[in-house]
Amino acid sequence: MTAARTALVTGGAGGIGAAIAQHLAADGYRVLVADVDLERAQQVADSVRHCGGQAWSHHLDVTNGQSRRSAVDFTVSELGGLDVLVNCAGVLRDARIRVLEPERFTALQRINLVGPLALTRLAIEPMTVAGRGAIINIASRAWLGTFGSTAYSASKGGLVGATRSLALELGPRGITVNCVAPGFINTEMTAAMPERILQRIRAAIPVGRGGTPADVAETVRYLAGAGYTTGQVLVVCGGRSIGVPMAGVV
Amino acid sequence: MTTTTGTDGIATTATRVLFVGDPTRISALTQPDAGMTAVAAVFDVPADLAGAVVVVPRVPDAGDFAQMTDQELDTDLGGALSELLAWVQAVVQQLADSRGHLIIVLPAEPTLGQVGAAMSGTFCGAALSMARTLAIELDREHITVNTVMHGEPTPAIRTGFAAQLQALVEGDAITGQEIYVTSGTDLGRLRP
Repeated sequence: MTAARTALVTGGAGGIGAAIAQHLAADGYRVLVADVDLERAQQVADSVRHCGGQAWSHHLDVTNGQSRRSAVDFTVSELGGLDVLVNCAGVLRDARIRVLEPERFTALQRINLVGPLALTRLAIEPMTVAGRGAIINIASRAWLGTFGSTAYSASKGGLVGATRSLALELGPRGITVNCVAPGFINTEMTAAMPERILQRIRAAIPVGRGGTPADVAETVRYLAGAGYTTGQVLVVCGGRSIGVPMAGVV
Repeated sequence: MTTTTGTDGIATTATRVLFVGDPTRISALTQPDAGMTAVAAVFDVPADLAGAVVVVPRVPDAGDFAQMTDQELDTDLGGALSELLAWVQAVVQQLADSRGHLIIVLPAEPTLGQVGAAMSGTFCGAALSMARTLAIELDREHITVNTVMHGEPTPAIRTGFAAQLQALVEGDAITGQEIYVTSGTDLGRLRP
């Protein structure tokens, strides 16, 4: 049985976030499914409870300070503490450098990078008091660079950079900080991609298939309880990150 | 821009290296006798740009992460990233119809991870990934994009830094690379 017992999962209504909530709940964590889409967050929490887990739902807009404070306070007061924070909320609205609008860049950084960092700062408070905690940032294989993805890759690289410094800073307090960098994952978003693109992507993945949200969630579950692993980036990409890159696709 | 005629009679443009970005960081890293083809510290991107541009971005200050306000995160970190984007877009726009070299210069310590430097480290990580994506995007335009991480600017570091820049602005074979000019202080550490 793991020591940490409560988890806050941002972006918990999305495909990967929901899987993370399910996996942590299956491990015995009391999970707060937090998302800007409260209705879907409630559905995920219902699903977790249906499977025998303990889950709550909460509205969370990671770009809003009051909303962030509310989610952390709710986790501490209603779930009994905050042991694991999973920063999974994020968006992918990007463009090539020559046509990227600065406003779009700024908006994406606020959701994918600045918001999660601000939430992390709040989460550190109860974790420090407890003398333990795990912060897991969901980055992306795009951190290695991806065509047409200036803003998104920068935001994920920022999470990796934050992870390294925070791991050094928070290690003495018993708090680990790690990153998971998913590659191509089968979700609703990727299902909408043209079949010819999907075929090219699958062909470039050494294990011969796209990943599943469960593949990512398994890694998060490991990191949630791995007290001797910190400051690391675990790339969950079926081996694609060591293969030949493909221009023009994610 | 210096134009010369090669032995094959084709006019070629000598590499000019321009520095743009944070004046304080630029002055700490450059030296007049570095042996480069041309070095000019400028703080605007000229319209007739050709050759190579070194972007030395403003890096947010280190500080106690726990004490940072939402406002500081948004304005210092977000502002510095927006500034970097503006520099890069200005440079890339001027390099639109020519081969060229973009080099982004970052401090090594926060890039690798440093206690009390969460915001600086975040910025450097973002800049590193941005450079990786730019290298992929601009490769087809024969624009190289590389990143140089430097240690404290001692005379040895400044000399090594200048030599490294010189190597990166010759030809277009080297792109998407990350070079640490640190006198070895980064050895044994996993790189981001």
